[in-house]
Amino acid sequence: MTELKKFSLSLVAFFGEKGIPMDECVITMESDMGKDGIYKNVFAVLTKEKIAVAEGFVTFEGKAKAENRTEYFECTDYSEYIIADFENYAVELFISGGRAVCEKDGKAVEIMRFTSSCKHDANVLCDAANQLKKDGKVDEEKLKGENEEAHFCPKCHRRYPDADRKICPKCMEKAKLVKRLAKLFLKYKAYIYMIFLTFIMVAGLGIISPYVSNNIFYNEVLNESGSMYGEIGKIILMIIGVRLLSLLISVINGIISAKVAAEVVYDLKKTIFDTIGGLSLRFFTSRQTGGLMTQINSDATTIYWFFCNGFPYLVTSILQLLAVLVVMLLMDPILTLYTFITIPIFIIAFKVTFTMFGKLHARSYSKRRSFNSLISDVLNGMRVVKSFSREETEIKRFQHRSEAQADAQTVIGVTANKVFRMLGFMMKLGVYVVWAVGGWQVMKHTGNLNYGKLMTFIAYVGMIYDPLDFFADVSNWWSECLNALQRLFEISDSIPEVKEAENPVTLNSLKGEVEFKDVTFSYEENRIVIDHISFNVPAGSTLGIVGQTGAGKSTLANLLTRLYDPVSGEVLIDGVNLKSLSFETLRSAVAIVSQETYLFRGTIMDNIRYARPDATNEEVIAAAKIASAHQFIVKYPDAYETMVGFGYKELSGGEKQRLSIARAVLKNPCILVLDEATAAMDTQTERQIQDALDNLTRDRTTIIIAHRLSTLRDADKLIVLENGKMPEEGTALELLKKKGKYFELYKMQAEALKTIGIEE
Amino acid sequence: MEKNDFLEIVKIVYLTPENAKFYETDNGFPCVNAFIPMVKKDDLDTSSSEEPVWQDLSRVFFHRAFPYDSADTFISVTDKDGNEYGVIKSLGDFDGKGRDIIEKELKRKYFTPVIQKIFSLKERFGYSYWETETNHGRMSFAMHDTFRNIAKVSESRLVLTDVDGNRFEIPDVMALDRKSFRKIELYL
Repeated sequence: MTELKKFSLSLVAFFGEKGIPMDECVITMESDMGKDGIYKNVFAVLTKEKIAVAEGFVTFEGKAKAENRTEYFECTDYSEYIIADFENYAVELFISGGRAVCEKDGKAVEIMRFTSSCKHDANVLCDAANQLKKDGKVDEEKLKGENEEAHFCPKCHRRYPDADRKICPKCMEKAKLVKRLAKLFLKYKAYIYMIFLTFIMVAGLGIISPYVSNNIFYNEVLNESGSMYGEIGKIILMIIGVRLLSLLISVINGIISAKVAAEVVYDLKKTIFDTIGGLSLRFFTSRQTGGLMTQINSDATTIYWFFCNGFPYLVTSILQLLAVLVVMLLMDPILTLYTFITIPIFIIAFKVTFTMFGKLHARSYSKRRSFNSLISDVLNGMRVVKSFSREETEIKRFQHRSEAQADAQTVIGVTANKVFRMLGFMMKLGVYVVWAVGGWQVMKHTGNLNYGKLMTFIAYVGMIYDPLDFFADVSNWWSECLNALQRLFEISDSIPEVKEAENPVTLNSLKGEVEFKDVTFSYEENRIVIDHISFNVPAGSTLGIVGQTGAGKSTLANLLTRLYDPVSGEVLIDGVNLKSLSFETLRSAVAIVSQETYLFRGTIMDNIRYARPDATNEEVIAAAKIASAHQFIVKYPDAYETMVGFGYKELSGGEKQRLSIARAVLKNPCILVLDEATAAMDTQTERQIQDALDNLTRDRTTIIIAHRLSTLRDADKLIVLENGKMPEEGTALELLKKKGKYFELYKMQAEALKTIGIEE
Repeated sequence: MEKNDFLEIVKIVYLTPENAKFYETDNGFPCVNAFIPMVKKDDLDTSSSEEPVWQDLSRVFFHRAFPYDSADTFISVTDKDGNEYGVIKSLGDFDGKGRDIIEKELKRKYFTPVIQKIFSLKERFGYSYWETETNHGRMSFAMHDTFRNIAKVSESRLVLTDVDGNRFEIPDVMALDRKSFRKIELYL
C-alpha cells in the first residue's frame, strides 16, 4: 500500500464501514477541496476494483497535543468509481488547482477536486488507475518513492518544498549549519586565532589607554604629590607608545583579516561553482542564472564578514565591556549605576532605528532594482525601441524610475542625518549625567573621586556606549548571515538530477548505434513532450527527424546527450543504457550542434577549439572548412584571432551556426546531432555545408533535426514527430508512398516552392 | 492606409448567443452547440470550407485572454488540447442559462482566494510563511523566492504564488489595514 496520506483511525473505520478494509487499498491520499469548490477534507482510496472518494470535515475533540484527542470525520459526500467502468483517468489543471476526471462513453466524469498542493498526489492516483485499467495491476515499486514520509517533514508535517532535498526550512537546525560552516573555516583556524588575539590586545590596550592618559597624567604627573610629578616628557612618550602599539596591532589585524577574507570568499565561491558545474540543466532553467552569481558573491561576502569581523568583534566587545565594567565598579559603583540607566533606552532606540532603516533600504533597493532592470531592458532592446520610435516614452519611463530611486535615496540620507545626530546627542546625555554627578563629587570631595579619576571614568563610559549600536543589530546580522549560509549550502547541496552511475561503463571504441526504447519524457508533470517513442539508428547511418515546431524534436536530442533523463523507457548507445554509461564516454561520443549557438568571449580559434583545446591549427582550419566557416573567418582582419562574444564582434546567426558546426566537427564524435544547425543559413550555404559534411557523416551515426525537408534529403531513414508521438517512420520514398503526415508536409513545402517557380 | 485594416486579414470566430448554445452535461461539464465553419478533425485536413454549419462540439474549455485587466471579455473557447473554436467577445453578450454555465466554469477555473488580512509574515531561509485571512477562511501558506513570486499586476493589485503553485490575490494592497500593509510592504 502506498500512503500518500496516512489515514487516522477514524478514517480507517469510515472506509471499513463502506466495505473497504485498509489492506485492500493500493493508494490512500488526501485532497483539500470539495467538488463544490469549498475547502474540505477529502480522502480518496484506490483499490484494485475502485476509487472511493469521501468529502467532509475532520473535527477534533480535546487539546491539540493531548493523548486522548479524538478525531471525527463527518462525511458530506461519498462516491465510488468502478475502475473497469471508466477510462482515461486524467488530471485537468485550473489556475491554482484542478480536478481529476475520467470518461465513460466519451463523457467526462469528475472524481475529485484539489488545489495545487495536492496536484502531485492526484496525478499519482490517476496514473495508477490507468495502469490498473490497462494491466490489471500497479507497479508498486514505482510508487514506493511517493509515500507520505518521503515528502513531508517528520517534525512539522509540512511538505518539503523540494521533494528531492529532504530539508524543511522551518525545522532546519541552525546548529548544523554553523557546524558545517565551522568546518569550512577550520582550514583558517590559525588566522582566526590571530584575529581574536589581536582584537583582544587592542581591547586590552583600549582599557589601559584612558588610564594612562587621564588617571596617571592628572594624578601622578600634574599633581604635586604624584609619583611622577613633572615628568611630562615621559608620560607623553608613554601615551604615544600605547597608542602606537594599539595602532600596530590594528594594522596586523587588518592585514590578516584582508588575507583570510579573500581566501574564505574565494573558497566559498569555488565550492559553489564546482557544484554548479555538476548540476543538471533543469537547475538553471528553473531559476535566473544571472542573479545566481550576484547572489553567490554577496552571500559569500556576508558570511565572511560575519565570521571574520562581526563574530570576533562581538566576542572581544563583550570581553572589553566586562573588563571596563569591573574597572568602573572598582572605581565608583554608584556612578557606574548612573551610566547604566540610559543603556536600555539606547538599545531600544537603536533597534527602532535599524528596523526603520531596514525598511528604507529595502525600499531603495527595490527601486534601484526596477531602475536597473529598465536600463538593461532598454539597452538590450535598443533596436526595437528605435524601430518603433519609442525613445520618448522610454526616456520618460527612465526619468520616472530614476526619480523614484533618487527620492528613496534622499529619504535615507535625510533620515540618517536626523536620526543619527539625535542618537549621538542622546548618547551624550549619559555622559552628561556622569559629568554632573562626578563633577559634584570631585568639587565637594564627597566620594573617592578626583579629577583624573573622573576623566578616566568618562573615557570608560564612552567605551561602554561604543559597541551598543553593534549589539542592537547583531541579531539581524546573525540571521542574515544564516540566511546567506543556507542559500550557499542549498546550492552546494543540490543533487544533480542526472547522475552518473556508481560503476559507469566506459567504452573505448564506440560503433555509434543509437536506440530509443519506449521513451516517455516530460519537462513538467502533466505535460508529456515525448510519448512512448521507439526507434533505432544503426551505426553509421543518418536519421532525419521531421516535425512541426514544438513536436519534441529537440527534446530527443537533449535525451540523447543526457541533459535530461527519460521519465520511462531507455536510451541506448551500442546497446548500453545511457544511465549506466560514464559521462566521459557519452560526452566524447556525442556532439550536438543546436539551434541556440553560444559563443564564449574569446577568439574564434578558442571557440572552435572549445571541445579540444589541443587541436592543431591545421585541424582547426580543416574543421572550419568543412563547416564553410573558413571563408568568412579569413575575411576578418584578425582572421582566426578575431575576438567574438559579448562585447566584441557581433557575428550573424548563420556565422555563429557555422562556428558551432566547426566546433562539433573538430570534436570528431562517433554520433553527430545537428539540431536545426543550418536553419539560420540560406539554402545555398546549407547545401555547401551539407556537401562538405557528407564526407564526414558518411560512416558516422548522424541525427539531423530539421523542419526544412530539403535538409534531410540524404537521410537513410526519417521519423516524423507530432505532438510527442511518432506516427511514421521509413525512408523518404516509403513515407511519400504512404501518403501520410510526411507526404502532407512534403506537399506543403513543395507547393511553397512552386509558387516561386521552383519545382523539385 | 487604415490603421487597423489588417483586421480584415484574419477572421476571428466570435461566439455569440446567436451562434453558440452552451449546455451542460449531467455531470456538470460545459459543452456547446455552435454555428461556425466546420471544425477540422486534424491539422492536415485540407478541406477548407468557410461556410458555417451547426455542430455539437461537446466539451469545451474556457481561457481568459486578459485575466487581470478585463476578465469578462475575450474568452477563448477551446477543445481539450487548446485548439480554439472561437472567442467570446464579451460575457455580457450572454444571459440566462448560457451565461450561468460559462460563469460557473470560469469561477471554477480561476478560483483564487482573496487575502483580506495578514496576521503574520515570517521570512526564514529564503521561504516566507504567511498566516492570512481570505474570503475563503483563514489560510496559511509558504512562498519561496518571495520577491519574484509576488506579481504586481497593476500599481496596487498583487497576485501571490505559493510553493505549490496556488495563487492568492490582493486586489488593492493600499486598501489593506495598516498592520497587514506594513508586513507586506517590504516585498513591494
